[in-house]
Amino acid sequence: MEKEELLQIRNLSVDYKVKGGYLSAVHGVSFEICKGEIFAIVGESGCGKSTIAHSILRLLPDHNEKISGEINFQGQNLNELSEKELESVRGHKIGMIFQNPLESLNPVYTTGKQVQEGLLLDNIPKQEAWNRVVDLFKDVQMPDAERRARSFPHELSGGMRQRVMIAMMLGRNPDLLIADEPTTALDVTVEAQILRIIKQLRDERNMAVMLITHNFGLVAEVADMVGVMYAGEMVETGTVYEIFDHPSHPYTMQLMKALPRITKKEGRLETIRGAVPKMMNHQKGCRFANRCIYATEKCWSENPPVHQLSETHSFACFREEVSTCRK
Amino acid sequence: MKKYILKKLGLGIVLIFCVSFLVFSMLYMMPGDPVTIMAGQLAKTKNLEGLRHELGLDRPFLVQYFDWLKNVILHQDFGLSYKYRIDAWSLIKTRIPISLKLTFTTLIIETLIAVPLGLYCAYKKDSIVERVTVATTLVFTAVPSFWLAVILMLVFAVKLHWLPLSGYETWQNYVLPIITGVVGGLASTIRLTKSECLDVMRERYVTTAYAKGLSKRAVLAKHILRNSLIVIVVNLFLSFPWLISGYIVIERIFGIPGMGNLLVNSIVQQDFNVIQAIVLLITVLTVICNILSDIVLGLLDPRIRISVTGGEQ
Amino acid sequence: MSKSPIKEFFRTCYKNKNFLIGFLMVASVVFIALFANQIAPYAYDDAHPQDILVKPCRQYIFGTDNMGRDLFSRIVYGSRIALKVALVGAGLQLVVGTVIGLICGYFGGKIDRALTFIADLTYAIPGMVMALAVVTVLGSSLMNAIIAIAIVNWAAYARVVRAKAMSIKNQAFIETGISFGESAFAIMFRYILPNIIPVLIVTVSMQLPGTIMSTTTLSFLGVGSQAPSPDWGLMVSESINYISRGPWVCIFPGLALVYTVFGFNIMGEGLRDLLDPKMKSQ
Repeated sequence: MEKEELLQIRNLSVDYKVKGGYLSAVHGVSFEICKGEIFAIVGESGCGKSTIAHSILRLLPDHNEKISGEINFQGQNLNELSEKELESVRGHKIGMIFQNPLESLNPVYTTGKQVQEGLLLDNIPKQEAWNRVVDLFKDVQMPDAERRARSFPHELSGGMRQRVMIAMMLGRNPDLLIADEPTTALDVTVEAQILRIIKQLRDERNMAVMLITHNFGLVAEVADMVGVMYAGEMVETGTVYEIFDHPSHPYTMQLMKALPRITKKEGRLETIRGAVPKMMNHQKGCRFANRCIYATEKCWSENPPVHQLSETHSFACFREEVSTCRK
Repeated sequence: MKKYILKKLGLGIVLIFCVSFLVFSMLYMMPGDPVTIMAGQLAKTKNLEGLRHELGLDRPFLVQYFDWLKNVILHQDFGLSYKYRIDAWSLIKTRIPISLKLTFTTLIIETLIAVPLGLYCAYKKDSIVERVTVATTLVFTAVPSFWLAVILMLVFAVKLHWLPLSGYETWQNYVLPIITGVVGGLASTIRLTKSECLDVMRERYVTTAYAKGLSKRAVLAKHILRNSLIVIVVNLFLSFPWLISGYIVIERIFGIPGMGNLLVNSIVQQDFNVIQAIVLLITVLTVICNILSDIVLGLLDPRIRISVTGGEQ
Repeated sequence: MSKSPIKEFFRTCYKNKNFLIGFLMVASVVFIALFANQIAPYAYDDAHPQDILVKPCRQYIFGTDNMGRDLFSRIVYGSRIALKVALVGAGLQLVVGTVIGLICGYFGGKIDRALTFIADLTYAIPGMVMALAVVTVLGSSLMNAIIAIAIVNWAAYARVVRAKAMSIKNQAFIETGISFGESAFAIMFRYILPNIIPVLIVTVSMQLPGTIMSTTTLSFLGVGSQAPSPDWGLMVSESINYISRGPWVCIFPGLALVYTVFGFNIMGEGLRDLLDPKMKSQ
């Protein structure tokens, strides 16, 4: 399959200004997403995956962050665009949906109005925009689309609200959809529906999806490519098969062990000892060192090198041998 | 919605009755005897008992109360002003529009200044304008309106002669009172607007609005301001009665013949019925404002509108 | 981290500029009130008929009023009244509000509903109107003005205490107390009250400036302190009659009042940040 690069992230770092310095939320992350591909970023909460998602469109809420590195999208470095220029990318080229769909919708407007608001940015007549809203609601399989467009967010169920969000962000045919934990706040059954919709829309529109999640099961289900994050760094990237069949970074390996498996009848779920460290800026060493079972002295003082296992599979660790952990 | 309003209305009426009883019984218990006050003025009247009987003050308390209430509701008859010897209502009637006009003007000016300023302070946090505003409001919350009024009078009337000292005939008479009133309420309204806007700015739906591609200005007008307005407008209605009571002092200083001025005069002269009438009137006004604010809240916030009608489809 | 918690507390107090400045301002007022006899060159009712409405000069640094009384001395003695208002007023509101709030929060049910209704009632009448009505009944004096403001304000305390008591009531240590056979009284005052104290301090510090301001306003209207009291509100009110001949008489007492209220204000704000970060306004 011929792959065409859509988004290329190079050495992205995000630091939050806090009392007494900068907190490194994301550090030196690089990856790329191709057209029509679903790229999942997985990691524990607070590992910076959400920060990456928000920094692409510069939507971090507190405005006390410093973003460095390149975010190349269709030949433009988004990080260098002015606020005004970025406005024409948001919604138009890149859409984004969020974790909690109720909080993400304005309670005082009807859902249809909120979707229409985005469409009207393309200078189309109001009526036409409204018709498109109803069509979009049908596209995201909203039952009773016409009526739901006239409902307020709090009158809808969680799944319906997330459909509204997807409709809102698809309205202007973006090339990339960033989905930040889109199903975390939803029931499992609803989760499946939403994922199906996202997948289907990807197939129909050849749209790339950047899926942020902490759920490996979900990754296995929908993703083409996976990036594993730990404490602000991307420790391993690869295709979904590479990651699941040959996890290479100790963190990924341990995550795999922690996954509940149907095949494994006995034995308890493994957990990873210790907690994610809070990283202040300019600290050297591997960030996983304090929880890593293979850690050596070197791990504490030097940044680990990146090993390229295949064209798509790479990981950052001093250990070179490919794991055989999956039995 | 209808059910919701009716409920609020019912509660309001109960509240008004309780206050009327409270006020009536409070003044009934007071040590000063209106008959002696009146008698004092009509020097020759010896027949206190006769006067007492004439005024109906020798009847049992509850009888007096219900009689008073009946007259109030049916004939707007609040009884006689002992001081002026005319009925209290006709005395008050002419004062109401003066106080209301003052209060309305103040509220409008206050809103026109405070809301944009509060919004700006929230939007440009840590700017010079914001810092100056915060410092100024902090100082002005410590300035009592009576002193501000006196100082304004000293500067603009006594020293500069730009405006008249007191009176109520021309519009110039209202400039200083209104400034005093506006400044009195400004600090809290700016603070409220600012903190509410800041809260809304942190809401996820504002991020969504940006993610849609809306410009900063569009987000500010259609999402941040629109949603902050719910609290701001409700507060506007609630602050109305407090402004009226704030004008008691201001009217007194500038010699404006409004309700507040009359109230203080009546208290000094122990003019019972007038005090009762004014307190009751202001309470009714307060309750009405509360109900209006609830209705406005329902209109502005669909979440309440729906939950009240029980899930309108 | 070997610092004692008390030292730590003082350190954060020191860092909190609002609290520090406010505290120093209030402390200065307290100092002046305590040593009024030493600071004031004259008695507050010491009339000098030959020195009527003298401009601020070396002998009378704030000038004299229409009876030839030294304004500076009157303002110095007036600080005692302001602090009395703060202390007695806040104390009264605090005691009444806390007791009623505890009863409501602890017992709940009918008592709670009845008392809450009364509290709501006091919210239905604007404060100044109700205070004036109360003073009408009680008669005009400083103490009655303080009582009137307390009647207006107690509900603010009761609300806070009630909410807090309700949330604490169901915690394990209360049930332990009950199982030990402690009386309701003991539970309320020995178990619940100590846990409410930080909230109470914050509430007091937020209500204090308003209490001083409204009581002074009553004095200004002539229904609080009576002449020849050096109450700052009363002084401003008296000064209006000769405002063009002696503007300093209305300026200085007002400045003293603003200084005191401002001090309490920012001290309160600092305290709120120190004790209850969640209540931060911004």
